Amino acid sequence: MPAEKATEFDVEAFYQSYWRALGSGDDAGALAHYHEDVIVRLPGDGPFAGELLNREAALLAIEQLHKVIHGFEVTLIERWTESHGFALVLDERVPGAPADRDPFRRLHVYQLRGEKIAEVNVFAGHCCDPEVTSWWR
Amino acid sequence: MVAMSGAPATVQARLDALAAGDRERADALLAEDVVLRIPAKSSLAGVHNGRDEVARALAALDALTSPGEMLEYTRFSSQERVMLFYEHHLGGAVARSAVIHRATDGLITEIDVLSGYVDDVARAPLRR
Repeated sequence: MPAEKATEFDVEAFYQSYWRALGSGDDAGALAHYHEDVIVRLPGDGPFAGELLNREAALLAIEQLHKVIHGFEVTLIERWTESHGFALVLDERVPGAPADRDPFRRLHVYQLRGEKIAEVNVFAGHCCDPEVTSWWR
Repeated sequence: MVAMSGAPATVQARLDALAAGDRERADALLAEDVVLRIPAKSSLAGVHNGRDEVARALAALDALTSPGEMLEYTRFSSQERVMLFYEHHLGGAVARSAVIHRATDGLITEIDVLSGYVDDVARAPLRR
């Protein structure tokens, strides 16, 4: 079922607060934005692929992801904010990769229930960088 | 009701044309130099360039996903881009995918297909 619509709730401020926590390495602060029973779905059949069913599992996933993308050049391409959630399009590039190589495009979709993140879906796009694909197969 | 403009209007026009079975009208909304990117592990994986090549790849992609039921789960839009998040239900399994469209001046210039979590990997359309 799609997430419930949040009403009279400032999704933009919520996103900014979440992104600040995540960007400053405050994993616990970021996690406080999640429901206890959040569902996180990661694509592919790589080491992190799967459906994670609570906040503790989500924290582990965030920590692992930090390790994986550490050193990658990450560019925010698009951000959408709607009453039911927010979504980010990110381009990732391995430092030193040939300039003509397409970056790896990733999409994160956050669905809200009430005033917390209830569902996170990560999507992987086309990629021709073997270092990235080893993680996001 | 607020009339749509920008990318949302262009993408909706294409979806309406496809729903009406009018692929010619749908393809006319692709820019001449449109780019389509499809993720790995599909026979269609890679970068497709130009209206004709992209139209052929999109038709083949539709054929891959035609068994089962394709449901729009959610959608996010800005004036420049529209993202559609789909759930493909097939035999009790669910494959998730997203399509990001970028549009300018009434034409779609860029389409990114992205794959999400699949309950049953063997059934995923983008793996075939």
